[in-house]
Amino acid sequence: MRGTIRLSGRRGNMVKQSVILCCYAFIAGLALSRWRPCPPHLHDWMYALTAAAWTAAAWLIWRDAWAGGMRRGLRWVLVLAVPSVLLGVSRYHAARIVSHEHVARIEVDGGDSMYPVDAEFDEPVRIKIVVRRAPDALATIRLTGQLAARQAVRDEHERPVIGTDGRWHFREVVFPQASETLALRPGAEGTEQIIEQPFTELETLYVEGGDGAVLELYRLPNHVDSFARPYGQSAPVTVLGRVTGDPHVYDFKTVLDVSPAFLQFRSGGTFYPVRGGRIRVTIKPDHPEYETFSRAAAYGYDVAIRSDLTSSRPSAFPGGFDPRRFYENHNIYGHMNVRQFNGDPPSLEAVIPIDAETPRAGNRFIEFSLDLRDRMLAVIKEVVPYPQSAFLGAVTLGLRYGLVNTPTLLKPLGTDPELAGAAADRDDYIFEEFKAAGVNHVLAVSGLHVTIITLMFVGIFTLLRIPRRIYAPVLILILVIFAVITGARPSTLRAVIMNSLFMTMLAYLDQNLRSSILLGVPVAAFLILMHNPLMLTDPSFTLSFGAILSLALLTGPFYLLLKKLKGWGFVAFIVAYAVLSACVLVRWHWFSRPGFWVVFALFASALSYAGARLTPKHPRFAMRFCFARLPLGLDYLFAAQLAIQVGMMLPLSALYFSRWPIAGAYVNMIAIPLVGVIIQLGMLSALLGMIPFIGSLPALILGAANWFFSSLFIGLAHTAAEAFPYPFMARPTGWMLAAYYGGCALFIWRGACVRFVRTLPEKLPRGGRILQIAAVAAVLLVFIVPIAARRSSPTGEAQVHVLPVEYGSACSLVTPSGKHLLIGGGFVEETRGRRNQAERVVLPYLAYSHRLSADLLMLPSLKPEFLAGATDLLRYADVNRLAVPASTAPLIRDGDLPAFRRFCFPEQTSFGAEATETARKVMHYVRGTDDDARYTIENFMRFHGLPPRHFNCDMPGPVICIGENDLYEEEYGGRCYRVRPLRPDRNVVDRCGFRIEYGDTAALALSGLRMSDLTDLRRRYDAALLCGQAVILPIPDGAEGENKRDVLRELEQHMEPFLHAMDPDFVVMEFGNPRPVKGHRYREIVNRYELIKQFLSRRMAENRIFITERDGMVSINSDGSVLSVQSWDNNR
Amino acid sequence: METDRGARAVLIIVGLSLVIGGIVLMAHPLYRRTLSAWLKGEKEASPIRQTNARYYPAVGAAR
Repeated sequence: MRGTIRLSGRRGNMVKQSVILCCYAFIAGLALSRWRPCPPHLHDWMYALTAAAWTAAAWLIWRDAWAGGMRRGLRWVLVLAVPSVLLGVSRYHAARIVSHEHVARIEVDGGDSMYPVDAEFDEPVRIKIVVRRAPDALATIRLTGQLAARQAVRDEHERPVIGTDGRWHFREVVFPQASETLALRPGAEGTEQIIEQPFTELETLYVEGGDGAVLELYRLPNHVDSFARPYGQSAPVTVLGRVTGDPHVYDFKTVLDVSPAFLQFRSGGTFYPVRGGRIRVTIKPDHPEYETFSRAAAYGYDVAIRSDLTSSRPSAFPGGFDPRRFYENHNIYGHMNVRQFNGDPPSLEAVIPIDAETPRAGNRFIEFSLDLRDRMLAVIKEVVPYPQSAFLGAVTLGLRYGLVNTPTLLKPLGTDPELAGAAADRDDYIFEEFKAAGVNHVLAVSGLHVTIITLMFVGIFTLLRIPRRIYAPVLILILVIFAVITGARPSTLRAVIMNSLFMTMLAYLDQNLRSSILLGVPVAAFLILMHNPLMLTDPSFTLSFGAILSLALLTGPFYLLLKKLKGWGFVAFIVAYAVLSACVLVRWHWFSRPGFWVVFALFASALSYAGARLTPKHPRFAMRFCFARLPLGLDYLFAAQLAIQVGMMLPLSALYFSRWPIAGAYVNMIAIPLVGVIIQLGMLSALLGMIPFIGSLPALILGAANWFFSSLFIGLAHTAAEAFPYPFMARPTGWMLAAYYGGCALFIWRGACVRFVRTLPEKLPRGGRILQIAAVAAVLLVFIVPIAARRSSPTGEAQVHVLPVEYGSACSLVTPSGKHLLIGGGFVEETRGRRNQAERVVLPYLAYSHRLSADLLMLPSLKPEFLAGATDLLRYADVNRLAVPASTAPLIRDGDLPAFRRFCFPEQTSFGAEATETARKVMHYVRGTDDDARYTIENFMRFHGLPPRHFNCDMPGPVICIGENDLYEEEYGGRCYRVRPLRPDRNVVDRCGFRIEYGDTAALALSGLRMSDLTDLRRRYDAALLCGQAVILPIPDGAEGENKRDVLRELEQHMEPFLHAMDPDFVVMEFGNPRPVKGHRYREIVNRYELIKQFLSRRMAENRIFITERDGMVSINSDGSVLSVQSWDNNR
Repeated sequence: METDRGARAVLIIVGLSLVIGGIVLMAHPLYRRTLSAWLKGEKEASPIRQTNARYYPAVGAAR
């Protein structure tokens, strides 16, 4: 082809392979740093080494180029890979570390009290003092110097002034500055103190008292991270900055990404210039400026914000989502929830530059793209009704935030009106259903979307007879605009880079698709990670690249394998697949049991054998009925779906979400072609609708068709979410993943591997056979060891993990022999934020710790904060037995709500809304509704063959009523482990506590009880039975309308004597936001909690009090003779 | 050849969608009333627009 540059020659291939090698080596360097970070003091050496390695590599490449070009081999690999790996390591650390610049080292020796520091800074900074050696006696220190303070110039409306060039106006005031006096105590080595007063010049450090201290002075970076206060601490700061991202508009809030330019840390203090980090600002619709900021036009606005600046909360338990890491990966180091109170100065305002009429605009190209998106959305809103329009906006324009609270089209049918209050709001959001159906990937604009749009425009340009070389750059521009309007997420960027490369190579370099994928994947990954290396383990990055690599590498081998299925062999495959699918629908827990797989393997082998015997007898049937002849490209679609599920969904979904949407493997066969049509029609109708006069009607017709297809899609997802389970699964470890992907690699390159092993004896005549066996054994070991190592084995240690389920209770107990028990399941919020503590905390923790099966689930109370989440545990964890309070029996047996209400609240003659609602919820969780698929206690009994109507408290079975007998007992190493119920009174049947004893140690779990029950426990049981080293206190709860005096009296009457009698070493309290559970009474509950906390602080040392809200998960461990308590926060 | 197939696919999708869209326009009351409002020049009265009133309210349906 004339005029094309060919990359297929030897030199071209060499260049291509060199680029691929460098990119993958760079990624390996990043992964290495992520796994084993380089110590901070070596960073400068690392940067120098990287520069030297690249210089050496450039020289070697230049020298080889003169000598006729470099050849492939070890030298080639080393010359390119080593500098690339080092570049990856350096880049990762440069992005991750916010360095503290060293200012001075002061050695305090006898006599002197003044130490010159002499340091000047070009901007106000704060100083951190690190005590390298503590003084021999108490010493006080004080820093002096100068401050050139910056005060914002304000206009007549008290707004900060900004110029049209985007420079904020300040006036500078220079004055002497002195720090507060800090105390240095003996034995304080390694401690750090931050001097809050800013300096631009340091002069002297004054020391009084002790001697011999060595102090290091560091300049704190003016990074957002150093200004953000820990979550929960409030002190407003003022930020002058700019909105640098498209606002995320939800239906209940708007989120802005703000790049701060200056920050006033203390009211009336100096403004610091901010060097790095962004802030996420949230505003609610009741804010007076909401209208201004809840639109794309807000992108580029200069803003002045006054509010608390807090850092993200870290994960509260192992295996939990870590918001801090997530936001840091996106360069967000602070959060501001902006509220406006009457009489206060504006908390958020757009600042208009002097001599201008409107706020400044952002980047012109981005402004244009966002405006285009708004115009397209306006057309969609004209031609497609809600909620299909929200779905279409998400898949076509990336506006998924608008879909977050969008209800599904298909409400559950036939809900019992008596129970409707609890059931009506469950699991009926489109977003949730898409997740459960495994099709939510269509809402995150990804390679699929970009490819569909590329193909659509290629089709249109071809129809218009425009040559490829002319339309290629136009198409690339369209893809870039598409990436901008959909938020430029890593998955979109990856696809845009790859499709652009593909179009360029196809149009100008005469290369094919496979060639462009092999080059495009590493190049796209390199560009994205060079920009932000912290994306390496972000799901949006790994899932996107996992999908494309799975498609590129696994689809072919799977297709070749499946192509062999013919005639009766194909029938056998279909039957085996159908049986497996039926098992998923009936009881997916079987999948975690090896016995099931043995039976299934035998069944599938028998089928396969029968198929293989029958096929040769019917050759014409085999010719006609085979996998390769499936119509409409279903064969390729099936192979591709299998590749995606095996290569990406199964391992990465388990890794990131501890769940696998099984439905996805089936539904995507229809969903992917369907979304292809929906995106194309959405794009075409939105573009046509923008043509004045003639475009509206065609847009409406295409919109009507898209309404039909969108409804079909939403209905499909709804049906799949209802029919298929969305199970939790054990989270794989790094080794497990390595073994899994090692297996995938063996499958992909199995031919080459087999050839290599076969030819080993020929290559190595001496000991070749032994090596051959050793190679196979090594491969097997690689697969077996990681899995075997993770299998739970008896540790001889009893553990109680108190999980941070906010207001509610859930504990995971591990017995010395490795058995697993559960207490409570946490709360499930039915409205507002819809927080399901079982799904958010308990099950992810169980998935992380590989304990998704439990021998016994104990419910200490029927209150929703214990019971609601338990139904999710019954559904997703493999629970063998269930222990419930005896009060559950009449409810299970009779199912009469008014009777149950009287039973729950015997002292009440009339029932308020709260009592009715509580009874209704309990009823719902115990009995469920006729059409509800939730796994209720009744369903659990039915599954175990126990008719609920004949339930009897004294009957042994899968559901037992908690009475006086021990619930669990075992012997391990000559020591007894026992879980004993503690009931305040023989007549109290709706709540209880537990004594968990092992050897000489014991812990009491009393969350389900009331505070007044503590006195009854003392009266009823021996003091010895109530003695324990650790106690989990009752959850703060009290009567409506109680005041401070009531609480203090209760503490004095019940808590004080109980703790005095028991004398525990450790106290654990479960607490969190009570608002979802207690509604309008949440303030009372918070006050009660604060009073209990103060009471405990007065009574015990602070390091013996653990609170889940503050400390995260709390673990009580005992080896039978010593009991210890640790919090997850401290562990970290 | 591949790009010709792509062009044919776009044509088929658009053609079929026009047919389906036409049927929906005739059969679905919301679309019928929307079309009628459009024909009368009263786009503000369009029921489809009204269903979208709370969805991205900052993005006006008529620009």
